[in-house]
Amino acid sequence: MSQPELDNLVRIGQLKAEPRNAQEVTRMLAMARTRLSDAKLSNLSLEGRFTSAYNAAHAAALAALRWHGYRSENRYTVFQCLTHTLGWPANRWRVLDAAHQKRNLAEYEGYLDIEESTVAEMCALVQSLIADVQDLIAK
Amino acid sequence: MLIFGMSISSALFTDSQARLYVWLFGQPERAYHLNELRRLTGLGSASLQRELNRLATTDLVIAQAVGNLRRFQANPQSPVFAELVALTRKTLGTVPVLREALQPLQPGLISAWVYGSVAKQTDTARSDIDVMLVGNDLLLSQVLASLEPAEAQLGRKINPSCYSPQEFERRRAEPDSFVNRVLSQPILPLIGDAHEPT
Repeated sequence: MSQPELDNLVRIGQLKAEPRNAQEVTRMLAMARTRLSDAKLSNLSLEGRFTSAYNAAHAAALAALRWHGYRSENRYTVFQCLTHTLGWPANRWRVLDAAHQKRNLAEYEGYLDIEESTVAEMCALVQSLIADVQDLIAK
Repeated sequence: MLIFGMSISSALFTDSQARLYVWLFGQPERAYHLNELRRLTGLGSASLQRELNRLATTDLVIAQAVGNLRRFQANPQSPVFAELVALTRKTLGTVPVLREALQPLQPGLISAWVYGSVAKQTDTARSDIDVMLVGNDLLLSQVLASLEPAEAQLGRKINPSCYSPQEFERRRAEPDSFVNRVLSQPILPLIGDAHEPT
């Protein structure tokens, strides 16, 4: 399903157009579910749960983008496109983008102060993200 | 539309002045085209022209003709330039705008402050605004939604980090935590008591 906003991003080189592959989308969504269950394992470290929740978010957001017939290697773009792929408001996808920035900061500066409340909010958000992608592909 | 609410700024400036000054005197190094100011302030042509004419005829603002366009910039030679810039920053700048935006998050929000380049005054017009918040049941998505109007008004992205009071105290007890690194550098208090570095 082609969208003018997403086509514009292709034109300026932010996105690539690539035909939908239903099996790929299903695989990504399954991966998102697995990562989300990892993120809820209370015996794991908060850092590990955060990374799992983040990976789940990315897999589900990319699944939505792939379903519409696009792809991006840029993680910020994948989250930003949730506005168009699922109609998500900015304040929701920006939580996922903030997680991306937090992860980058951890890699560059060695700081990964992850709080329980952050992981809890991420898990709730990813849960509804997965549900929204499921609704999208069931249409 | 009442953007600034009951505040020092609304006692000092009309709504039109407030919308214009935050750009002209809030970023005095920047020159603006008329269309740009119309878009940034949301003012109608007539009221924008009226305000600009008053500022230009008194030399508070320089109106420079570039081709058939006019560019407007705060005049650093004006005898009250420094005072206007300081007054604008104190009443319409980052801190008052953020304070106002964070009000609805109280009483859950206990304290909040700006850190990073804005607090250190090493920021450029493109720098993000880093804000740390401590409170009960704060959701980043809600904080981001509350800050959206402030981002539009200040023309900058705001990066909030949220902590519960327990999480914050735990990080305070770790000498090398991100929280303590932030608190050992300049901050601008927004809500609640300022914290001293441990």
